[in-house]
Amino acid sequence: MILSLLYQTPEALGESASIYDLSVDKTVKRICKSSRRCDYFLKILQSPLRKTENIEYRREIIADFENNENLAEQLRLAVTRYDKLKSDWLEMKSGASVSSFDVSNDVLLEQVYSSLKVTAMFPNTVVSLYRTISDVLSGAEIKSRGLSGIKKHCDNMLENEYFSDVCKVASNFLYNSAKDYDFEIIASFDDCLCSIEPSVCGINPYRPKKKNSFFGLKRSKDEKHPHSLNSSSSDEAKGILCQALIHTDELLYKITESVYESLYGISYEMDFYLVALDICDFIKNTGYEYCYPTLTDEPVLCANGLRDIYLASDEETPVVFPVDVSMRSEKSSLIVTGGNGSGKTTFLRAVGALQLFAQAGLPTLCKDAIISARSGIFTHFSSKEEEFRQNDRSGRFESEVSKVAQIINSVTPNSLILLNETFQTTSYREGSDAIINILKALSKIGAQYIFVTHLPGVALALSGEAKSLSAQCENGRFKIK
Amino acid sequence: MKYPSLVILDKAAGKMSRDVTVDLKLDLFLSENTLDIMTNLVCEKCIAERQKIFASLNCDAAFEHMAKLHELSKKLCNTIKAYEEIEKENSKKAVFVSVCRLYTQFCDEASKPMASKLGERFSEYFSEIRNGEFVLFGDKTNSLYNRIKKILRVGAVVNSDGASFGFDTQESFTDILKRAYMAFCPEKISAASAGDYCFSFTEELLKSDERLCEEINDFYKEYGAFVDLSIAEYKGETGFYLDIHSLIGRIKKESIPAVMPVFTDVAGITADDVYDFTLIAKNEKRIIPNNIRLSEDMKFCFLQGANGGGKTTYLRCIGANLLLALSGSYVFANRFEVCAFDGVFTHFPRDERFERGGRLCDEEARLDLIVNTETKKNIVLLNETFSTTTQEISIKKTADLAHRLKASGFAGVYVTHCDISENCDIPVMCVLVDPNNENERTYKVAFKGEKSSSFALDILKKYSLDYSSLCERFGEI
Repeated sequence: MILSLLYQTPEALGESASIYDLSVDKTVKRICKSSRRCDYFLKILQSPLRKTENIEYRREIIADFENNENLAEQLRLAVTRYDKLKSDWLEMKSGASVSSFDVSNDVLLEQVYSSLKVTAMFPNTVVSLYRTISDVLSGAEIKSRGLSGIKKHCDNMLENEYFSDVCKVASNFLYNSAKDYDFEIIASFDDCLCSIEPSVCGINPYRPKKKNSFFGLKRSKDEKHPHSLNSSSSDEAKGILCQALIHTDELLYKITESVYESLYGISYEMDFYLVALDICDFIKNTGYEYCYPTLTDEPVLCANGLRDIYLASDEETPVVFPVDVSMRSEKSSLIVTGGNGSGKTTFLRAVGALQLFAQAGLPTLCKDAIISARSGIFTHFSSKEEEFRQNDRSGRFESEVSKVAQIINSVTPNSLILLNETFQTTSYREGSDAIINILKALSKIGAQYIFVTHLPGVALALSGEAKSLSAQCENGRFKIK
Repeated sequence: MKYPSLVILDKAAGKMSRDVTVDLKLDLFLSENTLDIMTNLVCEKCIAERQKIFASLNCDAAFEHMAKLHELSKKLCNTIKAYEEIEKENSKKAVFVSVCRLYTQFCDEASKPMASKLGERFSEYFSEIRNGEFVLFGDKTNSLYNRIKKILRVGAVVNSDGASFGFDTQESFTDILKRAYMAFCPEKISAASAGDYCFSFTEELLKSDERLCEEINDFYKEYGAFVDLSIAEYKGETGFYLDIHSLIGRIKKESIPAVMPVFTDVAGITADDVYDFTLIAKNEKRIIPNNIRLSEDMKFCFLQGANGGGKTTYLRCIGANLLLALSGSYVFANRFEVCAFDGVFTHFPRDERFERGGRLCDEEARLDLIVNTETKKNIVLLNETFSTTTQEISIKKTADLAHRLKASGFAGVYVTHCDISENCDIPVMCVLVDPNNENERTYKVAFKGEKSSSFALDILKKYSLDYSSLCERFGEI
């Protein structure tokens, strides 16, 4: 696929497993009921965008769909037909395949022509779908670069001289069967004079042999002195014609496939936007404040009135309290401590979802926010005991260390790391010492982290580089101070 | 072949079984033709001359020269094959003209200078035959070829009734589609082929010009014996150099070092950081290099160790690089000193399809051929020979065989699970495990007795997350 509704410019996408730690998968599945679309959406969410222009690109497309009622659905229908075209065509092609058994050249010619006839339908159908997609987009007021780009591509292909020639060539082979035509071929020999490179140069309605003439083949212009071939040479000439038609078939197929591929896959990308539109509707319906965060190049994460969308999507949670978060300046990382049920994990989840949604081009559940597109988003949420494999000889602590090691190996400057009660599976002292060293290393790399913990002494040991926050629950309201 | 060889200076020094190349997995990388040439072991002098050619291929001009020779000899080979198979008289002679044209092109290219005595002998030969008669022959060939080529480009009309030719043609659909293809498709375009072509069509086209047919006939009478068709054999010889050169390039891309081996009179192999490059075929990204110390008293050794520890890999590492070295090529190591063995043998497990007797009989028959070889400087790589009989017999036969081979002066490595330490005094190597890492396999091989390289803190250390490791990676924290 050359054109994409998800990426204006290609970018090296990392993979973040954070959506599961942050329960984003559950959130999305609560909001959108189509599991197929959700799966695709989550797959895209797993690779957060790093380029600001790509984030803006998606936001523009969402805005176009929000501002033009039914546009998303109409476009989905058109691009789904487009994406399905190849599988339909291949199915037809399989019914017209050329026999692999030895057959006479007459039979082979009929088979080859039938196969070519199916291929010849493909370019013209592609053109008609370009027209449909262009018409759908012309009927809406679109401002986004993404949708405008799709329209422009369709229009360009409709006017493309080369592809127009391809369609014209294909049009010669759409009807009847081989016996209904006289085929003009050129037979060129290779340099060694051992094999022929044949090609078709014309196709005319069949004119039967007349009495007292070679074949009754009368050409209107520039006719020289035609020689009719004897029967064995004629049969060989039919074999040569078959090869020329097979080559024409192959070229038509490859060209059309290449043209087709430039737009293939857009229907999947539309699934992302259909879920995104469901999320927009959901966020609006919550009645809570929402925004598209302001993007900056500085390593910053600040949000006011941030709410956990996971809790908001839970019908049994009557109200979701907002929190503020500020990660900027020298002490940009956070250590969050607090008792059980004080909202530490909810805070971490809200921040993580904010970052993931913002880097996917989606609106976020907060009053206002300013963030940078992180080079990586990593999470480590301490897993439940039963999640460990029974035969895992390494033990729970080693599994934790192994996961943290993977994070450390992947972290780059400006990464965001969210750690939830990491290293609490060993003694407090050993766990504290280990995590302090690792958090210091993260700062040294230039990454920012939020570490939620019960471990004593961590906040104090890192007071020079991380701000300490305390999670509290006062009168049923959760607060982070 | 009446022409001077590009791969053998004088005569082959020994003949190796083709099975050796299969046991060492070289058939996954090199063509049948190259492997066939490899099985003809040559003298040290010839190896040295081949080394000069392989070294010269790193230079673009020399590589292009070799590639051109290969391309022409390949075309010659195909055209000669077609010429020999065609039954139609005029077509056969027309293709002979094409053979002659390719022959003159090959001679012109072959007369250009080339590295090494092999190359000099080759280019001198072809320089000498390009005399006045050759020039006249070349002129006549080209003139006739162009006329044949012209008459063979023809427009024809084909329908269900038959075909006729002799029409002017317009731009073909293929030309139109090719233009579009160039605009839309990134891959190279392939030409159409007429498949199994019987030359009836060619014959009729040629017959339409009687005068041309006569001239072709006269040319054939005059020059039918001028070209020795064995020239097509250069396809194999040039292919040999290009095939191995391509292998070297492919493996070097995996950041594996390649070095030209040094030949010594000491029977054995001494090498540092040798890679079993055949693992690339399994998409193995982390290939562990090993040292080889097979010389003097230690030139024949046992190799033992855990399953999956790298014993067979070590054998292939020795064998595959040795065959490259004996072919005159670079090897994948940082240092490789070797003698010019004239006998290379492998004894790897085979499947159970024996002609008669069982596995043991088959093994012994194959071993007899090895032990009774007439060659003098031999190396053998044995992989779990006698592993399918009783332990008692296995130990006895293993020790006997090892002593016989050692007494016969064989160099080599014998991979075995047998505990033979009490039965013989042959040195034993083993694959090392890391006792500090749950006995994890290191894929390193060393002689027995050599030292192998070495709860919360240990785990952190294991994952390089302890304080020292973090400081080492990120600076003082």
